Amino acid sequence: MIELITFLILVGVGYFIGNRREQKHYEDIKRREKQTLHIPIMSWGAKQDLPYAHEAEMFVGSVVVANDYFKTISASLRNLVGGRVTVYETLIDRGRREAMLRMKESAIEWGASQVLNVRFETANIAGQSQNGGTGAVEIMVYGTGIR
Amino acid sequence: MKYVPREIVDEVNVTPVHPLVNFGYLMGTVVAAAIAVYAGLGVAGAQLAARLGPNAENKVGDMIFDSVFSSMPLTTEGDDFEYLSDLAESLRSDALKKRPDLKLHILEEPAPNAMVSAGGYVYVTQGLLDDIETENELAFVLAHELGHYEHRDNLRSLGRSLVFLSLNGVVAASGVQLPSLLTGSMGLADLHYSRDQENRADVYALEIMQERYGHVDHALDFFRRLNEDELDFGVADRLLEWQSTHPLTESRIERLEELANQRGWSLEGEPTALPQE
Repeated sequence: MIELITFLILVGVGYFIGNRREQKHYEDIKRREKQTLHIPIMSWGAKQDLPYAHEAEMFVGSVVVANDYFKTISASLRNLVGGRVTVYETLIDRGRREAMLRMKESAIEWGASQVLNVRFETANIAGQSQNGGTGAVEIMVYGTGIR
Repeated sequence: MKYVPREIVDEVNVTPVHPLVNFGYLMGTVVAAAIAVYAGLGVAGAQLAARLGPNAENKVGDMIFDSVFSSMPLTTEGDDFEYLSDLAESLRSDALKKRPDLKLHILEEPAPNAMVSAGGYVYVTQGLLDDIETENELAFVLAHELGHYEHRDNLRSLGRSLVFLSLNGVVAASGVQLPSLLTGSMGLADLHYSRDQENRADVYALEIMQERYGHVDHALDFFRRLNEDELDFGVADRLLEWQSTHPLTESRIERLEELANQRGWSLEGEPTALPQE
């Protein structure tokens, strides 16, 4: 019985707090994306000429996001039957956009007119112990800012 | 080419499913699967247990003894034990003699109770030995436990648990993290009998009483005393009985007296005294 109550409390906390934070984060992401929209993000092929630049510098944006208890339970249940892990889609989506924004914002601060050859990297930095533990993922974005 | 900034309006990377709907669907799937497993493999486990040979039963019994009971305060010597042991042996029916030998233990526990586990392990608490007043009472309790043993009730409930435990092991080995809620309630300690099984063991014990003493008087005295100690909840009693796996003492006594009347067993007789200590 105590186990059941603990479980329900954890799921409840995970759901309500996690969901609220996610909504706040999305609002924040959308607002900042609008602000940084004027800087083009571009990738170039190996034999294409890069645009002319006076100066170039690499910018890195990285973020570590953790999943909440509700998402962990949902995902572990999903593991039994397979299919889309929709609860993690929003988590990773937030991570990518946040990392991109951090990179763009530091490039804008430096005075960049464009960011070239942007790449994404992800690393699973937690949740590798046998008994599960907390899951978290690092998402890193890097690109060359020019001005 | 001119760069025209455009806002992201549609969320292509996010599936538009409410997390609670998703969770409900998953929970429903798991619960449905669990029920199917409970019905299917539980029956299989019970069938398996009912067909277990004496050697396998012995092995299972030893395993349970080692893992559950061996750490408890047990006594297997003294006058009480000798007496109890002789009494239990004399109550063994012909059918039981083909099953593994009785392995009696006195449990140093104040609450009056008796139980039987797989492989002929019979446990009687010191509290029960202190509470009984005549041999008839003790013989009835022992015969009741032997009834469970002969009917393989302990193996049946164990069979289901065994299937669950092995299944739980498989799930754990596959790396899926199930919430402890789903796995915690499936322990070895979860060995109880249904009310039908209890009633059958009661009838079995009363038959032995009639055979042994020529009457069924005093056999239920212990339960009568227990009944007086029990609180009377009035109407709530029925509800409680429905919920519990053991029939409530009062209805248990009534049922047995009715049975004795039906079969013409004498409800009056001299009690057999306990040996003087």
